[in-house]
Amino acid sequence: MATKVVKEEQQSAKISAGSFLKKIFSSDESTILFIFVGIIIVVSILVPDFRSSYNILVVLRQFSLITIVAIGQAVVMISGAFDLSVGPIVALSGMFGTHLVVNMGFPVIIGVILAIALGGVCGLINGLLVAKLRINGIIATLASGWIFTGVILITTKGWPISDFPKHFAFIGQGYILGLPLPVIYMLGVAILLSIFMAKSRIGRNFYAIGGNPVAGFFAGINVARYRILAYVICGALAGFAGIILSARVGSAQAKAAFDWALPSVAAGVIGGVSLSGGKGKIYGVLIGAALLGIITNILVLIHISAYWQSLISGMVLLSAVAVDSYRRADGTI
Amino acid sequence: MFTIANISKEYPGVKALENVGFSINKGEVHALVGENGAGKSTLMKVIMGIVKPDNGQLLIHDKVIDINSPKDALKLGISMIFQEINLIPTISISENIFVGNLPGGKIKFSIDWKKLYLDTEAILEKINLKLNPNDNVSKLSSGQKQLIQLAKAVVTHPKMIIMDEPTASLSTEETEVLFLLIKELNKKGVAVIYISHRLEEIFEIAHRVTVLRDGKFIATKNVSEVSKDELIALMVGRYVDILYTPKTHKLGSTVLKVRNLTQKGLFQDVSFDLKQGEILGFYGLIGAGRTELAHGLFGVYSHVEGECLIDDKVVKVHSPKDAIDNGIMYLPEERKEQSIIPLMNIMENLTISNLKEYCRFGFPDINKEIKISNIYKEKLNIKTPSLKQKIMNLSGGNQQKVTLSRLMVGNPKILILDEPTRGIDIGSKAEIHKIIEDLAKNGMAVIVISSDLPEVMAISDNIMTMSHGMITGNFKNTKSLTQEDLLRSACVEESGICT
Ligand SMILES: Nc1ncnc2c1ncn2[C@@H]1O[C@H](COP(=O)(O)OP(=O)(O)OP(=O)(O)O)[C@@H](O)[C@H]1O
Ligand SMILES: [Mg+2]
Repeated sequence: MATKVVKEEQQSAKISAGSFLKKIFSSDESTILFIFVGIIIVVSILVPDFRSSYNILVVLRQFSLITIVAIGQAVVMISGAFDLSVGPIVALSGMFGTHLVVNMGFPVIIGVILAIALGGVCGLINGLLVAKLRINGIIATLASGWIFTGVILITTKGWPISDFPKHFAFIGQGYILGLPLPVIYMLGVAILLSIFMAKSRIGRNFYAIGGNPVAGFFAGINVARYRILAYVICGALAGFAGIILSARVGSAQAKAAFDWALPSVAAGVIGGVSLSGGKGKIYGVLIGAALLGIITNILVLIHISAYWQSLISGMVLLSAVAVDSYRRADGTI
Repeated sequence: MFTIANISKEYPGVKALENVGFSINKGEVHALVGENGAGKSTLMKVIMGIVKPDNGQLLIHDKVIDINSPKDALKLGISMIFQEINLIPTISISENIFVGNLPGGKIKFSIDWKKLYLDTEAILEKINLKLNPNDNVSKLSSGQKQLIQLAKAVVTHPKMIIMDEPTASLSTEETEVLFLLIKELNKKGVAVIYISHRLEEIFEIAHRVTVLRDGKFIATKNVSEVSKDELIALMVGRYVDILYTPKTHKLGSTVLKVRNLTQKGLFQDVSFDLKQGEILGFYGLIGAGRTELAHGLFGVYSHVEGECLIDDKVVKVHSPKDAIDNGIMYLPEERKEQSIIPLMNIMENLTISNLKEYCRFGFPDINKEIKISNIYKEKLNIKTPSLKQKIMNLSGGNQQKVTLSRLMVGNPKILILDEPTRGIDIGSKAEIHKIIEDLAKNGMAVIVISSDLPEVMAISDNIMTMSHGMITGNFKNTKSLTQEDLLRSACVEESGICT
């Protein structure tokens, strides 16, 4: 009798595993997931160096911070807009937090919190420009990004901050349980935001206003407030990435992360985030960012010149978008 | 001349079409009827090459043809007016009409703008629209947009035009224009496939009618040899009783008092009272300002002049959210643009306005949502294999039922319905009327805006008519009230009475 119970339990476990697999197979992110897993398997077999734990940690650490920014970007994209100012927000908040800790002697945790807060304020400015003044999101954040960079340059006269105390450098360079801290942050942010976007009411409303803002408005959603909130979340995540980046590379400078905006959009698009809003999953962004991240690494390992990296990244982005639009063309529009 | 043979199409969980076959003659109006989700639009999308059938063939003059895209269809002389408006809002009327078909200029790849302008003017005159060809389409009423779609279909000189619910958003006059145009096309030998839920139209304009039910072909009949009741029985598979009798409700205390509500250029000095349990019909011609008034009550304009009192307390609504919080809910006129979130599923679309009530600590409780969705799925007979289906994959009428459910879930004090049965099949229409009446019986106050005169007269306790943004009449819906009374009152011009 006892064995029977066990059997039944196993069976039900099997069924739920089956429906879980089915869910993955049928989701919009499935294509890119399989391509990613396929590449990992092939490369692991052909290039043994790739799967060494040392290498994997290096790669993970390399793309962890831009992934945090890409996740914020995805929140904005899902709600139907773009944030091209993420790079300058990373630099500005990183610089600010670092200044507080290194030059003013604030505790590290306060530096981090205030960097996140400044990032959030930058996001708030973007959100107000887009939602209240109704400036197109691309233009508004292109301009605000220049302004944020300008603020850094004027206040610092272009001088970087370096020579960090150890306890500050630790938050970017340290390890816990053998994992680099930035990787842990990335996973933490990804898990939190995944749950937030997929399961919370606020997350659901982001999808609604991205999918059809007019209908969202008529359904009683305060579209402007949600639009602003999306930018604030994106800015805060960029602020967090900013101070960690500065601790990791050991210096804070105006031009840090200046070119992160477009890769952060690309990571989302590769992972299935729609350019027109209303669609996308955070784990898709993670895969998209990882895919872009391992390209350089693989090229280095197989001794292909790094000059090829750009070309190959471009092709990956194009094929991801092509696969996606092909899938959508199948069936009704 | 055009034959549909054994077409089948299956979606996960739904057989949208099963071995459907019939043929269309030259120069005839061939009506296609069936309940919501019967497969009409899907079949037409197969003909246009938008949906690939699993099985079956299309033939012209007994020769099998291959249509893989709307472009192929156009080349073979088939064009279509879609159920959902399909124009590009940011470009001009003329460009919309001639898109893909622009008259070439002297230089290669250039456009002959003058000819474009003149051609557009000519076609606009034909469909009786006094508009500037260079205007953007975004400002047009839905009826005007629909006529522009018609113009767009006609200028390709097709041999066959498919019209999917063309009159759903047309006024009576606009419908006349459409019918005249159809008759003219028939004379030139153009065939028309005509989809509509308004059976009177079919008896007026069609020669033959084909009935689909649950994706299956049921029958093709000569219109002259079939009665309305028979047709309905073929559609729903049983006889239904659709009797329009005005019903009187017991009215409670006044819920809503509107005083001198004004939004410059849209409506002026609107005042009326609405009681608990009352169904108040608003009748008027398209453009009379009824939708705008509803928007005013619902907070779509952040500011309106005048006063609204709910339960004798002055309320200021600056957004739909305020309105909903004050117990007002509104069903917008344009389903695709203003109601549905296409990529979200049925359940999510249904709970969106009241999501807070289905949340625990800010997280929606899916089980609760599924439960309430199932209740409404049963109640309104929404046809879908699963509540997780994206709403964009539902038939038009079923989408409408979902958005109606959205309002009912909110259980508001005041319900404003703007064209609630547009695109709804005849059986469900009666069901929806019954649902509205039940809501009123339970004390809800309901405003129904409709251009469908029999509908207004069937369900309202009182009827107000509007013209040019002003209330022009206020009628008790008694036996002695006639359609003419309302029409006359709805036609009042500033200067007097219109023809
Ligand atoms: N892309 C799709 N994916 C899944 N199901 C679909 C899809 N398109 C249509 N269906 C289903 O096929 C059936 C037929 O839909 P169709 O739109 O043809 O109905 P219809 O007769 O035009 O109804 P209505 O009168 O409401 O417009 C419906 O049950 C619908 O849910
Ligand atoms: Mg249809």
